[in-house]
Amino acid sequence: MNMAALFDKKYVFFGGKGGTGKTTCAAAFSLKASEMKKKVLLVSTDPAHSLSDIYDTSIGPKGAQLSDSLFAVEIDPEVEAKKYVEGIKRQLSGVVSNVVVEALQKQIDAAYMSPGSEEAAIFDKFLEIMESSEGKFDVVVFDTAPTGHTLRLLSLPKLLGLWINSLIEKRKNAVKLLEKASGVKNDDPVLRILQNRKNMFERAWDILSDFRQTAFVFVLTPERLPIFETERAMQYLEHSGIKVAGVVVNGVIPQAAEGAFMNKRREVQNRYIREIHGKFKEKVLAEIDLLDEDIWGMDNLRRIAEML
Amino acid sequence: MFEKASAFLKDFFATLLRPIDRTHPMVMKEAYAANDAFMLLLFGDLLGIPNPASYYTLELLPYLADEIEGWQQRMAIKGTVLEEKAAQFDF
Repeated sequence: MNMAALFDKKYVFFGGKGGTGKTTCAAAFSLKASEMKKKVLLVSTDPAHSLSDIYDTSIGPKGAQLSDSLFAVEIDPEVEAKKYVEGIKRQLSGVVSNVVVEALQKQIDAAYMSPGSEEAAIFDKFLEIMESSEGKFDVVVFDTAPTGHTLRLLSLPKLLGLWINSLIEKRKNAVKLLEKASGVKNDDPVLRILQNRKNMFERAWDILSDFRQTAFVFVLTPERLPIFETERAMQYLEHSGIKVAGVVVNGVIPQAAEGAFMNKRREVQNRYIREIHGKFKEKVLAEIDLLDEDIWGMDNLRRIAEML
Repeated sequence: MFEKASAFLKDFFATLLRPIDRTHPMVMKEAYAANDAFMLLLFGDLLGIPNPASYYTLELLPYLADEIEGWQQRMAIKGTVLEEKAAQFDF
């Protein structure tokens, strides 16, 4: 795996510790891919969206076109969860009385607020985007939330897959007994919905674990904490069956920088860069220099893109 | 003639050997018990058991809404559960 091969993937994920430059790398990578005449969709799954800030334009959950072949969208979990819940409430009022709807309101609100809802909402949207991008985009780039969030998001299909399997088994058993008792065979909508969810989790997992079309890249800075976090996250992913394509080292002090302070910092960085090469070996895809300005807008992103 | 007689005998023995009627309510009860377990996995949070995926159980609500109340009551009144179980064993 090298940097050039990364541009041939269909789904590219940028992850890593907070503040290491995930958004910058994802944005620069997307820009470069779009300038290679690929149709690119850049998706932010980080609840704290910064794509809008880095491109200096308003993107939001509806998305925006940034150039001829570059599109971006910021998934808003609240918007997605609301849509989902509203749909269920509409459906409910169609089949049960208002009294029951009212009684279930509590249940709906509790589920809506429960931990995991935000991830589930992001996850649903994220699969929808991957599947609807088929034929429309050559590359879908994901700017993910900091490591912990993303690892949980990625482990969702496997965890919930197990949970849903046991649900299906239990319901099948109950339906079978009921048929035996009543002699009537019915198509159970509950089983159908559960099966749909199960299929959805399986499709998501198929995409995520397919190394030929999907790539995970970790962005890290040559510092102690990001190195350890990246190493742990990589182990976690590989253990769960997702291969990691490589790492991008960001914020390297350029040779041209001078002065006693810079030299001292560079010395420290070099130690860590050697450690990164030792740990990640051929997985080090690129090293990006620290720029003399903070990065936002197309011109600065292009400077980063050249180093990818 | 012989065929008619054999058909009659078949019927006769089939009726004789058919499980007695009490199995029907028993299977019914078993079906309910199985479904109650299913509901517990789905809506355990209503009884105070946290659910890892309550977000995804929401979409089943329109189809299970009618069952929830009865289920919740059965779960709340432990005696009912015991009685149901006891009834199955014909004490």
